[in-house]
Order: sequence, then structure tokens, then C-alpha cells
Amino acid sequence: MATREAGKKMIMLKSPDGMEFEVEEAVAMESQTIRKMIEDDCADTAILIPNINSKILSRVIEYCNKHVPTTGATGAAASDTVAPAALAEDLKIWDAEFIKVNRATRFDLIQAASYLNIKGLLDLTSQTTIDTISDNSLEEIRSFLSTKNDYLPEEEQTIRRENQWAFQ
Amino acid sequence: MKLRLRSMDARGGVAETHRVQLPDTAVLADVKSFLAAKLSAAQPVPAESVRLSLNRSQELCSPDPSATLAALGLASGDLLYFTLSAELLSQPPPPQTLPRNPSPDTASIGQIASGSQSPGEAGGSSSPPQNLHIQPVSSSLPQNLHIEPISSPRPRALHVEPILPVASDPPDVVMAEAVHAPKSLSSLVIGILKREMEAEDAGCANGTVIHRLAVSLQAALVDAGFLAENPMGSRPRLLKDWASGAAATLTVKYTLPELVAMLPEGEEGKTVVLNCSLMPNFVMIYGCVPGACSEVRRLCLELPKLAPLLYLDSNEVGATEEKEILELWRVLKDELCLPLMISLCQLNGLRLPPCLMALPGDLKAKVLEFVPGVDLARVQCACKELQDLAADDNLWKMRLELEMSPSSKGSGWSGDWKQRFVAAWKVDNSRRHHKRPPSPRFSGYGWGIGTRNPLNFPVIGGDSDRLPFINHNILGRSFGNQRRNISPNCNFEGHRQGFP
Repeated sequence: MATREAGKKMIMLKSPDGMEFEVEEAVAMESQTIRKMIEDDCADTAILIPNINSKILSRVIEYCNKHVPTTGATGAAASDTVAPAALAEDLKIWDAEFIKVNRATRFDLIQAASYLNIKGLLDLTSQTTIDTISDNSLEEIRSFLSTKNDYLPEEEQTIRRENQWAFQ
Repeated sequence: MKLRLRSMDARGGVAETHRVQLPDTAVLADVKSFLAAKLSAAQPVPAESVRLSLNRSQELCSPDPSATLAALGLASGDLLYFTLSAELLSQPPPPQTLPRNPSPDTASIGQIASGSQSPGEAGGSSSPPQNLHIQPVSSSLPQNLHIEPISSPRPRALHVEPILPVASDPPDVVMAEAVHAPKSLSSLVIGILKREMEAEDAGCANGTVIHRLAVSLQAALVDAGFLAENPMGSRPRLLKDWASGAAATLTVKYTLPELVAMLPEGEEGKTVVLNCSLMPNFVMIYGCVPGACSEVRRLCLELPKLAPLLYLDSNEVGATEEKEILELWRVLKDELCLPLMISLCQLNGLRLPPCLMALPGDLKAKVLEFVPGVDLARVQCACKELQDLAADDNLWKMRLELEMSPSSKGSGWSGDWKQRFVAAWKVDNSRRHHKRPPSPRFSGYGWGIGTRNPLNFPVIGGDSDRLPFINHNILGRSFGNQRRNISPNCNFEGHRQGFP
């Protein structure tokens, strides 16, 4: 199972709920965390990814699959025909579709991206987390951020005065 | 027993799905003769030539002609593929019943396992990713998912193919379905909804919109992490009352697995209360946590708009429909379920569901890096922790560099970066207020520019048909007031008198 096709090393990723995903080494190495494990030779059979359930892990793999560099063994032929700019544009559109998930999934993805150290995914997820709070009242913002007002009345007054400019 | 029958031959195109209700004593031959009768409309089809399959690759055969469908392993709601050409299907090596999906007791992984799964539901082409979610952990059915990119990188679809288990189990039906499935969250959501709908349909046949909406709401709540059933028995009440339409207002309570033990003693603060009221065309849903000081969440859903979305009977869901279903799901979850759950967790000191405040500090800081300066200031007002995080000087330095034009930065000014940002922002803002760019609606249409030839006006929203009248100066013609605001040109060239 370790080598499915000649030249492509496969890595097995396991989620804590028992699912196993076999991915190309290059795809798995999009994650700096896994890359380190592979480089340090602690990934001979399978890598258990703790804290990331199969639903999220499969999404992360989907992302890595899409974002694995096209240069190299997997996509050398394609990079001749497709301009890099078009490819980047394509990726952008794909990313925008990819991140259209509900908030809970998005936060799960942030944590997964952070744990696995996938910079692109971390940027993508954190960028889209707070994107809609303009023009909302403070109470709406609090509820959106799932936080509670823990200021004393006079403290709140001060902070509101300091940031009055942003509410105009 | 209800079955769905879909043609294998029309893959790619819209494959028509036949629905059939058969008595429990029906045998395979009955299904074939039903299909033959259906298909004979165009040309006669002998019942013997109809071939059925659960997994599109192996024919479903019955070793004993009198064996009922249930004995073959079929369950109500199953999707069967049929074809008339023999070569598409191979005979299964051992003439035995096809394997079923994972047994229901292994399907409890994940929150969506609400106990309502119809165990035989292999789903349509849109739901299989859901099935990835409920694969058994048990080692008795070793199943590995093999994910590899398709060699052409553009577009690169995720290709999931099953590795055959080493054990003697034949490949699972679900996995065979997954091979053909587009893999995206959207289909996952639709999968959840469809499964729930069909599970409910099996119980009571009347599928009104309200009933279906109730099922979706229930699915969203369960997906968010609430218990599907609790000592107060929400589920049967929610559905029965709404479906029958007997009660216009309905109160249901939901709780979390962690709190259920404390429930019988004190309800306050341990449950989420949903009040649903039904109006002719709307459903209003109010949700609150009694005892918490959080506000009441309110959702207003328009039934006629939802009706087409909630009938997910056809297995092909169009892209626009899919988008709207997703939007409904997002609204249900993000506007109702999640905020209520967060309130409940905060009140009881439980671990928060995935939300900004539940993220570790470094990730919160990471998220704030992408927030525009104005919003960053608003975030600071929300609570102390965010005030601290968003007060980071580097954040404001970055904002200043990203958002402000060099002229408004006020170079050489020392001090805290936030103050500098605010100063620059105020400069920029006042500039924005004073020099308002011309409204894009009228720019280029000759508004205020007398030099333009009136004959060369671009077509503006269907006005072109009356421009000739203006130029020929036909008096007394009424064009109606509602169009005048988009015909600025008539103030010029002396044609004003052409209007009443």
C-alpha cells in the first residue's frame, strides 16, 4: 500500500474517529507539521492526526490536493499549457468556493490548518472569519463574535469614546 | 416498501428516477415487471431484460425467486439502478445478497447520527460524502480511503476510490457510490437533509413544507450538537404538531448531552427554548436560553420561497437550488443554532462550540490580522480579551500600511500606531465625504455634460425606443413619471416640453 504508482510515495493519514486517508506524499507535505514528521522519519506506516475529525480532515486534504504545487512529477505537463496567472486566478475562485462553509466548520478548519501548519489554508480561513461586521451594532458584533460584554459601565464608556470614530 | 429506481444508461444527463411503493411481500420480479411496464411506453420491454443493481457494477440477483426484497437486503428508501443492457453489469461472484451499509450501531460517529438514519439509504449521487462520515471504526470492515489527485491539474477534482478490504467482505455499497460523487460540503449538507427527510417520510407520509422545514431545523440543531431527543421528548412533538398544522404556535426545548443529567431538577439555564409560530406564509422561530442574559434570536422564514428547496425528492439538484439550500442551512445554523448553543455553553461553563472565542489566543490574533482597521476598533469595544488582542501595535502598523494612502500617513509622526491610523483615517474619511465621486449610475450618460450629442445616447434600460420621439419633438406624449429619473437627457436640447 505504500507505493501505489511508481514514483509516488503514499502516506496514510488517520483521523481519531478511525478513518484513513491515503494521500500522495507531496500532498501531505503541504502541511509543514506532516513534512517535519516525514523528514524526521517518524512516518513509516501511518500518521495519526489527533484532534481533527474525518469530516474536517477530508476537507483539508481536498485543499492540499488542489494546492499542491503543479511543478514536479504530478503536473509538469500541465504547467506548460496553463499560464501561471490563470492558474492562480483559478485557485482563487476555487478557494472562494471552498471556504463557503458554515461558521463552525470554518473554525474547525482554522484549528486544523494551525495544527497542521498549512499557511495558505490558515490565511484563507482566518481571512474569511470576520468579514461581515461592518455596519453592525455593537451588540450584533458581540453576538457574532460569540463574546460577552465584560466591561464595567465606566470602562465601556471610555472604550466607546476612544473608538467613537469607528462607529460614525 | 418504497424504492427509487434510476436508469444507469442516462448518466451525466438527467436520469429520471421512478418511485415505487411495493407491498412487503414483493419479490425482485415485481420490481422488474413494474419497471418493464413503465419503460414499455416507448417500446415494449420484456421484464426479463431489466437488470437491477445497488452499486452500478454488480447485478442484484435473487437466488430464490420467492425471496422478498427485505430478504435480499433491500430497505425502504433504497436507490436501485436499472439497465437494459447486460454488459454493464457483471454477475456477482457468489450469488448472495449484497452487503448492507454499516450496521446502525456503528453509525453513531459524528453529531448527525441522530438515530433516524434509514440504514439502507445509500443516498443519491449528492449525498455520499455524508457516508464517509459514518463509516464504521470497527476493524471488522477495514476500509481505506484512497485520495489522490487526478493527473490533469486543471480542474483537479478529488478522486476518492475505495481500496478493497483484505477481508472477504465485498466492497460496500456506500463506497461504490462515493466513487461517483462530487465531493463537497454542499452535497454533505444536502445529504443530511435528504436523509432526514426520507427517514421522516417513511414514518408519516404527508410531507408539507412546514413538516419538511421542521425536519431541516431539527437536522440543523442536531448537527450543531444538541440532543435529538431528551427527557422532554422534543422530536416527536415538533414534527407531529407542525405537520398536522393543529397548533400554530409550538414550544420545544433542546439541551446538550452534558446537561441532560441535570435536567429533571432544574430546567432554567439548561435548555434552549424554541418558539415557533406559524403564519399563512411565514414561519417565525424565536430561540432563547431562559436564565441567560443574551438576546432572543429571531428567524423569519418565507414558506413559498422554501417550498421548492425542501422537496429534495429528485436526486439531481441544480446549482442555484443547491446554493439556496446551503444558504438556508447556513441561516439555520449560524443565526439560530450556534448562537443559542454558545449562550448555553457560556452559561454553564461548558467548552464552547467552534467559535472565535474558543480559538486559542494565537489564532484569534491571526484572525484579527485580516480585520480592517475600522472593524478592529469595533471589535475592541466588544470585550476585554478582544480589546487586549486588538490593541497590538503591530496590527495597527500593518493596517496603516495596507489601508492608508501615503499622503495621509503623516510621516515622521511618532507615537502609537493606532493613533496614527485613526488620524490618517480621519483625514481620508473627510476627503471621502467632500469629494464624492459622481454617481456611477449617471456618469457617462450625459448628465450635466451639455456637449454630448443626444442622438448618441447609449441604451438605458429600454428607453431607446422613445428617444426618437424626443428628437422629433412630438408634443403631448405622456411617458409616465416613473421613467423620468432614468432619462436625464431630456433636460437638455430643449425637449423638456415634450413631457407633461
